[in-house]
Amino acid sequence: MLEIYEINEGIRAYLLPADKFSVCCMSVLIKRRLSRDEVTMNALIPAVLRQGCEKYTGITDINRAADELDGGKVDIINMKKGGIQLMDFYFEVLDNGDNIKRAVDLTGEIMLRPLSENGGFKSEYVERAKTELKAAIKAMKDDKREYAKNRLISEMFSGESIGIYGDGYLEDIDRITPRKLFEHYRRIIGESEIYIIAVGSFDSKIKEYIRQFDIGGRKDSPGKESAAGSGKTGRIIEDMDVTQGKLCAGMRMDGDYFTLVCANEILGRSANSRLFTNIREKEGLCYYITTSVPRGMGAVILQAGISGKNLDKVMNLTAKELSEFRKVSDDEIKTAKDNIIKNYELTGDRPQSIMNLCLDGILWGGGYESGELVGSIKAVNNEDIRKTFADRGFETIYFLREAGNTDENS
Amino acid sequence: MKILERRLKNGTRCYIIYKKGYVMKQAMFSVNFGAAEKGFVPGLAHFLEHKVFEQRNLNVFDAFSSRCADVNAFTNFNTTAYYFSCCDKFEENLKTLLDFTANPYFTDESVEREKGIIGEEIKMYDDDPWWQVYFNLIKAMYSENPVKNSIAGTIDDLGKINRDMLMDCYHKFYCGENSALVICGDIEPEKAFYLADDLITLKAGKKRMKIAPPADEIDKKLIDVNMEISKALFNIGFRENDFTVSPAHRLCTARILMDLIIGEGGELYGELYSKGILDRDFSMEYLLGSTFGGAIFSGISDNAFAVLDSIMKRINEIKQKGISNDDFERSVKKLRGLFLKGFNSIDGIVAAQTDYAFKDIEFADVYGKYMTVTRDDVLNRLSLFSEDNYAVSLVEP
Repeated sequence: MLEIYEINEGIRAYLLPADKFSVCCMSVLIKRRLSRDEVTMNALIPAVLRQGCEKYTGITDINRAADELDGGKVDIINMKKGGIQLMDFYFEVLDNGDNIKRAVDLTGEIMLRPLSENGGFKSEYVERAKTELKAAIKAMKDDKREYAKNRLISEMFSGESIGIYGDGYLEDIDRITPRKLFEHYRRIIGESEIYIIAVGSFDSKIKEYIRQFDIGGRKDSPGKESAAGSGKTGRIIEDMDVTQGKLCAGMRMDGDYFTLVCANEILGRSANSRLFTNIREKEGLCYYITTSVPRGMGAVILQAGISGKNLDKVMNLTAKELSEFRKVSDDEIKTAKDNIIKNYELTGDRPQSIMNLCLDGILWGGGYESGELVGSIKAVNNEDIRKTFADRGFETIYFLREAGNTDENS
Repeated sequence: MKILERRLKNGTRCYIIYKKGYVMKQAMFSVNFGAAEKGFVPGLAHFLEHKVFEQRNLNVFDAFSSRCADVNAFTNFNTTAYYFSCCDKFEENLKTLLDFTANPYFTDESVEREKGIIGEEIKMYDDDPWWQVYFNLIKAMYSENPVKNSIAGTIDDLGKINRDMLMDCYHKFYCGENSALVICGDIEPEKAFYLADDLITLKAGKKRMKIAPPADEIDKKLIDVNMEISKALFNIGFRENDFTVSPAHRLCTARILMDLIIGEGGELYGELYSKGILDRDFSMEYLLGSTFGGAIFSGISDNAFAVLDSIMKRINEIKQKGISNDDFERSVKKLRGLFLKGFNSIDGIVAAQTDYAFKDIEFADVYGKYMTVTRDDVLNRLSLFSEDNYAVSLVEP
């Protein structure tokens, strides 16, 4: 049973005990609206905090403390969800002895008592973190499929929060000083909404342990909403020395999220979706082709690995599937809904998925647990699903074109 | 958690793992036939995996989907595996799994069409630097062992494959004596066993002979390729040389020793991280095969040879000074904890049990080893980490 309560104004706990697990997972999340002004600092902070705090002054001390919790995992993650940036203080430990208390305390030490000198973070750690963040930003190109997706989103949502790269920007890094970064951290930790989500094997004693995160009330100060965007449409083609072209296309959607989830399932989410069946199985044009509807984005994102010479063909076949979408049968819709419901139910078997669902509910509403979402899917009207893509097409197309295919589609 | 282990009537090894309170039910049918097979065109087992889904009068994906089940498959060094996961209608889904893997039907024409799809799959892996750095390491570590074959083969290899070759392999390797079925979820084990025993139609076939590891040596000290990436990736692998001890012993002692050498809670990792030589993307695994194995360190670094150098120095230090009891106990406790955490995931349990099925290893062996392993057991494994017994794979910008 989910229990939600306020530790202080703007600091809320979401407890989801499940004794079928032998682990306890917990996240303490600081929420910020993605903004160009602070995204890079927010991305840099986890890499600084991970290296030491007042009690555990070096990275080896922190790692060793985690090892001692039966191989516990303790980490700080910079996360982007739609137009929101989160700093996630996360741990996962076996519920054995006093592991949970020690893991909460370790998290508290890292988050609330960071190592400082001369009114700033320890400069050695900031320098190391900068190197790490620079490498991470440059490494965005290394995973070509993910790179294509990031590029599409930044073009499609250019000028909006969603279009900002979650890892920040190289040109910002050198300007950040240890003192400026420390002041920024003190400010956001003092004013931002904080969510604590715990899932798995634990008892009510956890409420005592997490009381240390009562660091004063705050009102949600979501930060500045970016001005209306100037999202790009049309084709963006970039050449790279890759063997297979990576296609990523986006279509903005408003309207009911759950209707869109149903339509997406039929269009391209599953292995018997229309795109998979027609473009992979019938035409043999790709190994993967899939669509998704990330929460908080208001868009359908298509991804496929294809040859450059097949780009037009794949987009035409996709357009054909969209135009024929109104002919989707009741049986197809029933299968799709059943599959979505099953996937919601399956989240209950994975602590990380339970936490994700709960976080989505916090950020975007619609329910914290699978049961509520199942109800919403059941309530979606079949006719609305058929109308989803009426007169629509993927308006922004990003293609990472492989070498040797420059003669076409340019 | 309870495990029932028994043979089905056709000889298939059957493992049923009961997980109370879980929604997902999963079954994985696998055959002991993978990419590491001597005398076949590379990529044949993987190609066959794609074609086994094809049936005379059934679309396998539709059948599972209509019951809200997901179906998938993979091929690795020694295994081809087919699996589904579902919430309900487990019985019907199990029947479909056992039926389709026993009755593939495909034409010359569909084999040709598949070459297009697999060709795109190969190209996808060609663009994946982590995939490249890992499989290049395996190639470098072995001169003879067919584990060095690439899983999906090359585009040229695909050209050589035809329907007859695929059917021959199917008849040779897809049989009860050479297969395993792993079931996991909130299912009554006895009932599930009788259900599987009733549904299995695959022929019994012949048992495969155990193969001794071929005489082997490090094929190349270094494989270094360039790709369009931002920072170099490395894999360093020490090749297993002792197949006389039990697989669980090999696995547990190697993992503990690797953690003592350069685990994240140790001084060496902290030092290399602070100097910027290692990043946070650093990991270690012990590759466990019946005829191959290796201790593999992987990460991102502009100076992989400095990492290697530090590892060798640390090994020499352990050789000379031994390891403290505190460090040893902490590593054992950590690795035992990580092992136990794995039992929270049905996917993880099924994949591990399938992997163990053909390697004569059981969960209880591994747990037992973590409970009884001694410092001397671990120190005796130092011979694995010798100067002439490693290879390095790099993918550089």
